[in-house]
Amino acid sequence: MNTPADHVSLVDAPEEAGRTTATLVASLAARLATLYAVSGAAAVGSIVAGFAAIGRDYGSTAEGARLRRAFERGRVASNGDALWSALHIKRWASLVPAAPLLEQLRNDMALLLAPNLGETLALLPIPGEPAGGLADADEPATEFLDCLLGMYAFSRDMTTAIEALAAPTRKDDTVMVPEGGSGPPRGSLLR
Amino acid sequence: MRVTNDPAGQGGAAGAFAELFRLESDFQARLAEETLRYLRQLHGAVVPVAPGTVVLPSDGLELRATGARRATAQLMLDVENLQRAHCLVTPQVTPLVSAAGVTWFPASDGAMPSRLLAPGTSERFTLTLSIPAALPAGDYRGAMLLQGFRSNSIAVVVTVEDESSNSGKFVAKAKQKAAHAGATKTAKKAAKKSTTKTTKKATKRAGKKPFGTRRGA
Repeated sequence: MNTPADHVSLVDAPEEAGRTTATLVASLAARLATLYAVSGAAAVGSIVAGFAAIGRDYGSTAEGARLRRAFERGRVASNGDALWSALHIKRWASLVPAAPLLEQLRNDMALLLAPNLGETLALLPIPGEPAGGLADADEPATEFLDCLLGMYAFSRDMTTAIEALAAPTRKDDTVMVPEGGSGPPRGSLLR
Repeated sequence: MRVTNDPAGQGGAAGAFAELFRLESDFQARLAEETLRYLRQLHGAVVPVAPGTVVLPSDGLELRATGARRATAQLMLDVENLQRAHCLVTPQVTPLVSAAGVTWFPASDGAMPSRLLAPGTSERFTLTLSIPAALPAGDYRGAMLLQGFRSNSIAVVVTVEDESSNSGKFVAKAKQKAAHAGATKTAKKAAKKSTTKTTKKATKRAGKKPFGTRRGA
């Protein structure tokens, strides 16, 4: 049995508006609107840097560290670093801020389950909040292995989230019997 | 001051010239670094904010689990979603380190305990860690991370006991004695001695040094 001490709560960040359907819709709309204002290189670079940020975090876990060591032992790490350096990917992805991909995924999944999404969409346009001073400027450089680990951790989270979305209504039936009897259709035209 | 490129000694005018070069190269390097930082901050400031989640642990929270070698240890944590939207929670354990310097990269049994928590609900997460046979007995400290959250780390202590009950019991007993206010030095020594003995035995049995073991551990 767990003691009452083994308990954590998930709360909104104190300096932000919090996670409500309206703020999540606003964030998604603002993200889409930003795409028209930035270059493709900036948008993709931000995603690459976002994967690397997840990878750095995941690499500090036991599972992530094991995976990282496996890559480092083979030619994956050296080949990846060679590509990263020859094509200047590191410099490109280190210039742009990392997109908070896990938070975005979590927020988008929450929108799919929101009971009041219809009413909130009727309120559009809702102004999005720019990150402003909250933006983290002191991120380390975007490394190849971090990006690889990040893509793995992100896709695992995405798979889990999508499975969790389907779970309440999912049926694993392998046989479907038509309603109203199981015999062949009868009639004068079918002989 | 007269600046010369005369290579005579470290001090004097030559020293000043070298110092000028050093300052100039430091300045250029710092300028490039700060410009990149500024550009990134400028980009980041206009990017829309993604409302996030902060993990709020109860006071002095430290997850504890105990298990014998070749068995499992279970870490349990209740997570309550106090936000107004669903939240995906994925707990992970960091590598655990003992006082002797042994690093354990625990492998959890079964599927990753990822859950989608509805607003106002609470769920219990159980991480089952397989304790390897080669792992020396002792307390292993690390953290549980809730992936993708801010301030997401919770302290973890896993106590690994010897599978041979006699020495395990002895260590546990000795440690219990030492934990009391009037603990004697003898009990502490006995516990230490037994732990060292067990560690040595385990290392010998495994036929190799476990990862991260210091020399003579």
